[in-house]
Amino acid sequence: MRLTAVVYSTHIGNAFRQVWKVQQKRKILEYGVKEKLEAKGLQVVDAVDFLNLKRPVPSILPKLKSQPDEKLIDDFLLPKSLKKDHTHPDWHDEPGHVYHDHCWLLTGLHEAQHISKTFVSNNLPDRITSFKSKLPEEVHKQVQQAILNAHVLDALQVKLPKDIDIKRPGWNYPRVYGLPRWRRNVQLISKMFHTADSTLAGQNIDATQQQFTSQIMIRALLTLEGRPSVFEARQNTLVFGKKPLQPYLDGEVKAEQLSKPLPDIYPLNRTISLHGKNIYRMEHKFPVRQGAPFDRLTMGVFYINKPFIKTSGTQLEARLLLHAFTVAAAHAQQLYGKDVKDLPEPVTINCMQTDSRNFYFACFQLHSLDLDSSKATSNLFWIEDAQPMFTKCDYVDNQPVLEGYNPQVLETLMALYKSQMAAAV
Amino acid sequence: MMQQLLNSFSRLCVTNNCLTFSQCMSVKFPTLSLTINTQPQLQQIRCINKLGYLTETGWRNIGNKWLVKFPEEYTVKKLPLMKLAGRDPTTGKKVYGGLGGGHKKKYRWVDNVRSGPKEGPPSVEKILRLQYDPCRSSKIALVAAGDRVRYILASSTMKVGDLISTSGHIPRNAIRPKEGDAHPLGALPVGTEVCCVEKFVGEGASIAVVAGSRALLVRKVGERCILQLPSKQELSLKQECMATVGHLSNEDHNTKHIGSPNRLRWLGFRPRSGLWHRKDGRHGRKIRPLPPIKVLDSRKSDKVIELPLTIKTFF
Repeated sequence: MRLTAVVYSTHIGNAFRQVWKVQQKRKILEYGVKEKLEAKGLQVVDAVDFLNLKRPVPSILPKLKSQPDEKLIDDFLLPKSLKKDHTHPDWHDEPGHVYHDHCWLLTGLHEAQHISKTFVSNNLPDRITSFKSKLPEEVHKQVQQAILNAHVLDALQVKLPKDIDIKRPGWNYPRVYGLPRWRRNVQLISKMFHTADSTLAGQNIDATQQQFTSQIMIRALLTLEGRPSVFEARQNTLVFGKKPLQPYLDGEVKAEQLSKPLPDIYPLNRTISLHGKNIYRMEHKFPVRQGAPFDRLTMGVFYINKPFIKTSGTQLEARLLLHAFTVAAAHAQQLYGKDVKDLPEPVTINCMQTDSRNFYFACFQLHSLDLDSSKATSNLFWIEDAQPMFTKCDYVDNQPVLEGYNPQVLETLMALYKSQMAAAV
Repeated sequence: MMQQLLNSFSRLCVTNNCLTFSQCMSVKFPTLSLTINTQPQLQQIRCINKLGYLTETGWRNIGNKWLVKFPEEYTVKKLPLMKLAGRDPTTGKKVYGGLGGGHKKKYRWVDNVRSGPKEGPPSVEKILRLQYDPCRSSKIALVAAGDRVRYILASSTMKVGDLISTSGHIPRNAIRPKEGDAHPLGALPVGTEVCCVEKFVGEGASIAVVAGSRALLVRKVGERCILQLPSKQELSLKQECMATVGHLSNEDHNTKHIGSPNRLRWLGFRPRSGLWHRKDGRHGRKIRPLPPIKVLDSRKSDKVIELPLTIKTFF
């Protein structure tokens, strides 16, 4: 029981407050007065609009006499972000489809096949497998050291995102400082290619025939379902050579592959994951000018830099397919013009995707950019199963440890790289 | 610090509907231009303030437990949620006791309207995945068709990859119902177990939306369907009201033992105290006859504009 003093007199304020809780909600009933007045020709205006309380209040901060309209000091202490409405400089009234690095297709590879009209095979082409060969131990040791350097021995320490275990929702893991994924990716890939170059130099193949670009935005403009579509790829390293790659399949065999039907995604539309957006930039982007010494795209390496992505099914394979398609399409548009539909010569590229641990290798052959054609498939894609580079690379009892190194990854990369060199020669 | 500054000035927002007392003051005593304008777009999601509930549209108070701002268009993205702990967001007073704390949650906007074409083939949707929802006891299903992706309440027999259909057609003879499909009550045979039933046509499911619950279609009288609710009470609804065949997922929700007082705290319930006599007073078992059947026609729509005056009292 409460031991406060009993109050005998009523507090009027309490009563008032309780009554006000109900009375403060003034109900405005519609009697049709506005219509009757307007019928008589009298203008009816909302009182608040009349008071114009939302008018911009003039700034009391100092202004230059010569430029009275310019603000010397901005009113806001925080920078203003562009609003995502019609005032945005890239606003278009007609919604268009945008595919970018962080788009994840709902059903995975089947959807990607429908978007890009591609037939998918589950092995790399025979020409690539013919280049596969065992590499000497020293090369593998170099790469293992490179893995340790990239994952564990790098000096950069950044606060990583919180570690979450879905089965223990409230549990707070100690916050980890470590290497961000983008750094691991870049370091590892550059070292792998460096090792590949030096091995090839030992076999008397000129490694300078292939040149690299890094982290440049590639943009291809196409039409999908009659709407303008923008395909963007940003997190990549591209490899250019002097001569293009020869197509992997041609003639009758190709026609036979393309006649097979695509897997069904009923009742979904193929554009379900590429939502209609009003803000997009219709500007074709490709890093290397036509006519430059190394202007033929031969390989694309794509990075997955976002940590803790929840992917299911074939979403990662779909990402690789659409990124390869983007890059090949941008290259084809540069070679044959912006409006090209069926390419006179197919554009063939090798591609690779990594999150610094799992590697996806694939080859893509682009024949047509007509995504709305009546043909089911026009392009070809060969993809291998995901290969982990290692099972564990971490500090164990303060010692850097690498376990479960997979030599297949480097051998596949060498095979792809050699095939590009062969084309160059 | 900037956050606090913005928070303190966030009360000074004006709309067509109401004038706050503090705004009246600032009109009399003009202050620096920092105070007047609304927060930039980036800030709105981070500092949800209760008074924004009155001044902007899209806010919804869910049972004095959560406050969620719904965007204009339906989205599958998780919405930030503010816990109210049983308090009314306008007055700040406690309405329900025993609520407070608990794990942070994000709100999944579940579409509880299942409307299908009245003629022709039914609309078909594919179930992409079944998910846990912290804001409700039943599971939710991510469902897609055409260009539209949405969450719906999952019935018990739904599996990933299934195709579920929705039809608005009421045929002469009752159809053979398939679990997971949605039909108007008039199309279903008497004795069907249904869930996610609409009270008023086109409004969205409100009956039997809790884990494992089901309503029973008891009889049909002309153009009305009599439904036995989970509480055994009977309700007369129009035959065009949509219902999903089957019962809701997560049936053993109420048989799961909480296990510890900590777990109850994580769920957002504050410690309870008080004597509980199992068979006395309000806790005892009641045996009463059922009330008469309630007949629901269409929701009365009062076109009344409410102008809330939030002027603080001087007491």
